[in-house]
Amino acid sequence: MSDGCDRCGEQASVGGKPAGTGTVAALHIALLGNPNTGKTTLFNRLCGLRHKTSNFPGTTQDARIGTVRGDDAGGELHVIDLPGIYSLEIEQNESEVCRRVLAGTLAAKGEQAGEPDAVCVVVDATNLARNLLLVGEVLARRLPTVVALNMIDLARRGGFLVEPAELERQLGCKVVECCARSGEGIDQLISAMSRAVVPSRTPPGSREGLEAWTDEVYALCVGHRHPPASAGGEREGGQAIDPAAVASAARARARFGLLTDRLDRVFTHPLLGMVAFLIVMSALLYVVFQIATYPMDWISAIFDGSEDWVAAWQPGWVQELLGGGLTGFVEHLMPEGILRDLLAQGVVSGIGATVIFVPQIALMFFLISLLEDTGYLARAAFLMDRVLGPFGLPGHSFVPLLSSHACALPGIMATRVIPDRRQRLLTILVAPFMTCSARLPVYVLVTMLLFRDRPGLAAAAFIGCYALGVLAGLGSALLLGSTLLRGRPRPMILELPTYKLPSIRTACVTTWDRSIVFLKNAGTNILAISIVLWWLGTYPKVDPPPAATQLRMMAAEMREGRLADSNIHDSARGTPSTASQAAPFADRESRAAELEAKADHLELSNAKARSFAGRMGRFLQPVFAPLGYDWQLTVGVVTSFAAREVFVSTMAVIVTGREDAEEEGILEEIGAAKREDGSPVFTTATCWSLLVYYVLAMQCLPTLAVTAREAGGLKWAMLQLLWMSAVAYLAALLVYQGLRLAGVS
Amino acid sequence: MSLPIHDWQFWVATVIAILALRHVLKMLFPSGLPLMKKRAGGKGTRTTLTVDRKPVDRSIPTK
Amino acid sequence: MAPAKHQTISLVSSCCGGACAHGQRPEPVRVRLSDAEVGDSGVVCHHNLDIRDAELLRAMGLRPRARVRVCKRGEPCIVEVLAGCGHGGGGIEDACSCRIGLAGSLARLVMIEPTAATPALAVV
Repeated sequence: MSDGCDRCGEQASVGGKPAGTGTVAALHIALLGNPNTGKTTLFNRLCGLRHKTSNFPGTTQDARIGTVRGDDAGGELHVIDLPGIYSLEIEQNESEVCRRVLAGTLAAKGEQAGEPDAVCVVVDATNLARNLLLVGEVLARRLPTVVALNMIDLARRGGFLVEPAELERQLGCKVVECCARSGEGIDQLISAMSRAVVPSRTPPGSREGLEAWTDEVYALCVGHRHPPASAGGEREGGQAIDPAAVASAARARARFGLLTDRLDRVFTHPLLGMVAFLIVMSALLYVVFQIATYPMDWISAIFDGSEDWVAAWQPGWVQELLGGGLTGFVEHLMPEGILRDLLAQGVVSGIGATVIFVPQIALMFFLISLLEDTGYLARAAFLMDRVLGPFGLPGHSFVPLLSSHACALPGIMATRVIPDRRQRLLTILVAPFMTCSARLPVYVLVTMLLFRDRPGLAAAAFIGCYALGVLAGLGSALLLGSTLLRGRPRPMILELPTYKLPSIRTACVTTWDRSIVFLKNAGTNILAISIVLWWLGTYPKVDPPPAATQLRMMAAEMREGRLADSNIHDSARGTPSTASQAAPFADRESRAAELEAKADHLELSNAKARSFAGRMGRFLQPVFAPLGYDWQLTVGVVTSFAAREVFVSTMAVIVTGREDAEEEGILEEIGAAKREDGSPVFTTATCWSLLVYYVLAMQCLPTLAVTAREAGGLKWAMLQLLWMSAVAYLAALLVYQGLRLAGVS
Repeated sequence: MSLPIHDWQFWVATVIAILALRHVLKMLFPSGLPLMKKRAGGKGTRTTLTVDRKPVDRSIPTK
Repeated sequence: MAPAKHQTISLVSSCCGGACAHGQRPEPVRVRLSDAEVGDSGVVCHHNLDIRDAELLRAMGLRPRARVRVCKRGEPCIVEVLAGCGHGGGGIEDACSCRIGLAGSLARLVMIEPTAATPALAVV
């Protein structure tokens, strides 16, 4: 490749893109291939973490674009990982995306449209015959092409004798044997991609002609034309063969085939398969929810502070600085004021609210990726098709619905694997019914109030919440599938990949990708919502209540020694102070500090109640009164519309005046909250009503946004919001009124 | 009840909150708010075609 | 003209062997894929699938004259699609293959010509 022609000054090019003077321009390589050919593994091997995930505008297909350093003579290669497809010519979203990218009419977000400089078709060496169809279609497009003959290690182990030289001759383009898992042949592949040329042969254009051509090429290049082994075991091409080794490999293949048959029969059996599925899924959920609590606790400690955690190994000055976590650090560093509050309570809190979910999501996707790599998930999809089919959902839905138990956001994005649009829409609409991690703090609060000292019943209620969510989701799918989204379910067709040991590397890269996407999507949104909620909960500023002022006066008098302990009354409640009933305080200063802390709590609680958010709650309270909620609960429910996880912290501030919902004893204090008429806020009927409401309600703006994007329009997000809100309201109403009628207050 | 309008920090925090609200609305309405979308081509304004300030006689066929 | 919803491909004549002793081609034995026994092999003759399903299956390898081996009956029906085509008598290694799972309702619409005799299940 030269920089310029001496005669006409025209610049030479590869694939139509001119080279820069003195430098080699980056080449754009499209990576294409059938599903289950190791294309993703190859992409990860080529680019590692040097990639970004984008999407193709106007579609719901992910686009991964990575960079790989070319060989010594070449520059960088920009590799775009296209969706796995069986053919460019079938009517599927993925095929259309690939067609348009190869034609140069579609590019990933942020990339320039244009034909790729070269195409690398990844082919499974153990399934060459089927893969040749796609190779033929790509060759017909007359773009510089390279074929990566992947999984060559498995082919050799299986005794397949693929002749790359003959394959090159037949295809008219470079063929490189490689193994993405081990890295064999990767350098040669990179070199070949840098030097890709337009193929010298063109396959037939018709479908039948192309299929006959693939048969012919396969027969010439794999096994068929090999002459019988001579005495010396030589055959054409000079590659020595050992008949005993070939026979041994054939026997091993037969044994593996038999094992595969048996495993398939077990994993797709209606009874045995279900048992296996329940064991696998229970183990997965146990690992996710049990093991993820450790990093979640660390994250919570980092953001909100934990004296035990920090005190365990830090010197005193660090404890003082970091004992309150990042929130405390900001409060320590910045002078008191509005911006400090915004930073500590809005920004840091908002970031923490997103980051805390990452361990669960990451672990969920790591394990799902491992399961997928083993080949089990494809079999489980057929099993689930039997279970979900009566509700109008396809077997493919179970991974998105499972993922939604960690967070609905990545669960909804995972619906991209569902080929039928109607079934995909159904899954998206019902995914948020699955109990996600953000609901758990509410469940913990309410079950604790309902079943104090009865952990068995509390656990049963917890499980009941999960089951209610699943049932509501399935019921909604059935109803929507027979009304608004009526249509015949498409029967499942799925390739069943070979059983194999999963690749940890692939799982790690996939997990990284999904976590980054979650942080980008949810992180910015939840942060923005946190800031808005903070502002609405902070303003307008109100005068402190008289009780708080009185407490401060008492504190001042206590410090000056003008006030005895026995004269202190709990002004806010009109009852004798508990302090005067307890052992007498020796330290006037600590007693004064306690009085001031109570005054702070009263002021904060009052400020929250009379803020814009609190006023909204009071205004909407009549709507929620039939559900048994007073204005305090209504504020909590209304503010958690934007993000569920703020309910407990909002209740903590309104009821107790304290912002740290993790503080010891705070749940009990919330549980002891009183209405304006003196009756308890959290009655039994109210608790059940609240629990049912939170199981079923749509209270997550980021999920709504992703629904709108993935479903292709805001109307679907609005439908989801209205439907879930209606179901939640009616169910909570029935529960509350039903319990009241039954005499349960 | 009051807003601390004399505190510069209030204004900074309010601007940040407005930007955050804008982000939230953009998240929900990526193509713009429905009420604020302009119709393609607009309503248009009726006017009379003139040439050299004289109205055009549409009965005369053009070449 | 709107495309037909179902695509019927009949390649019976090309699947058969040579003419019989009386100069007439023997009627090929055809079996529904859903009715074939586990372990049976056959050649895909024709199917009456929806055009989208037909296109996808064809691209996946389940095309006319494809050689298949039934791995599992029922729901789902699992078949192993073997490399190459024809009656398998050409000595091609059956090493390259892929497994496809399809719903029982689709398997009922695919007809295969067994390469091993299964007279009890023959469909005239």
